[in-house]
Amino acid sequence: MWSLPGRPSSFRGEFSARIVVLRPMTDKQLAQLFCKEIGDEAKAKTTLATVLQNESLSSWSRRPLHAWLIARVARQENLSALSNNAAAIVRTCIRFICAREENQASAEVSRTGPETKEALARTIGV
Amino acid sequence: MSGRPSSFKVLARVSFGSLRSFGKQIQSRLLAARFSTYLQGILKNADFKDIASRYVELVAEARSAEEHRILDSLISMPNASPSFDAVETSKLPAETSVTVIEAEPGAGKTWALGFLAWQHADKFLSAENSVCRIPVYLELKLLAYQGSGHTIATTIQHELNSCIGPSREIPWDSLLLLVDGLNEVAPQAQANFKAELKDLLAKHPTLHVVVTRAPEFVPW
Repeated sequence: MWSLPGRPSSFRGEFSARIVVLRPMTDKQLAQLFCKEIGDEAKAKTTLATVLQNESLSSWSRRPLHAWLIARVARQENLSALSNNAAAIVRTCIRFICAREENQASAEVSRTGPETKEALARTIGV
Repeated sequence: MSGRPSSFKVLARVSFGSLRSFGKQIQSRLLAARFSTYLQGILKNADFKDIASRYVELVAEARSAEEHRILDSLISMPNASPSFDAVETSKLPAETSVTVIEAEPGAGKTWALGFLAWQHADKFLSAENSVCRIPVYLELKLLAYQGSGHTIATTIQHELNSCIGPSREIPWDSLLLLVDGLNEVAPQAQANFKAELKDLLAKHPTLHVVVTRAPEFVPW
């Protein structure tokens, strides 16, 4: 078993930890993700084919968040949104990210106890 | 015949092995019964359920020598070569006591951690896999906001509150601590977390921990 000591600001000298990195998703993983997110096997296959045809989109899609955004665009807009210009894709993705961040923030607040909420309120000066 | 163990010794060894395994199974089932409310809570949690339904198994690999050279230029590269090329993230906690998943934003760290929580709760309850542990998922930024009085131990006590009874005894040796977002808190909070984790690991060497963080150097 391989253990790496961390760097000074991480786990160095404190305890041994195995540091791993996540591999970019393969075509097969992308296909699975599209299938689960889009919920329509045929549309998922077409989405994957569209993504693989575009070199930059294919390279960009290898992180789960990006793949999720592509699936959302394909599901809620349509496939032409993916094959159209890059600016349209970016605009659509930013819209999804903003909505997601908003949901995450409100979920985070609801998960915190009263003490945390008080501490947060103090931090932001409310 | 002198070089071969006697039938009695073989039988005794087999019986002892079976007894130990049986004992572990009993202990695991007792824990599952004691923590069933908590584990059911994880399985019913909308966020974990959503992750479990959409999860695609991600693959992790040891950081490459080149990455190590760039990121950790102050320390030398260990001579030992990696003992694995790649491993599915769902199998990570079984392999080593402390695992740090390092990846850029959006690479699936939180996703993988959420799935681990759901998977271990599910398998622990169904007795499907004896390697599974009681998962406790912590977002470090929420813990850090609670101030210096809150430690990992008190947070876990709070999480397991309904199941640990008046003794407040945490089953450290059966826990899988999943800590998300080490890089999302201030350096002092990171130092506090690491110091407490070091103490916990010294006291409970069989505790398993998976920590996620984004690399300090993000290649844009």
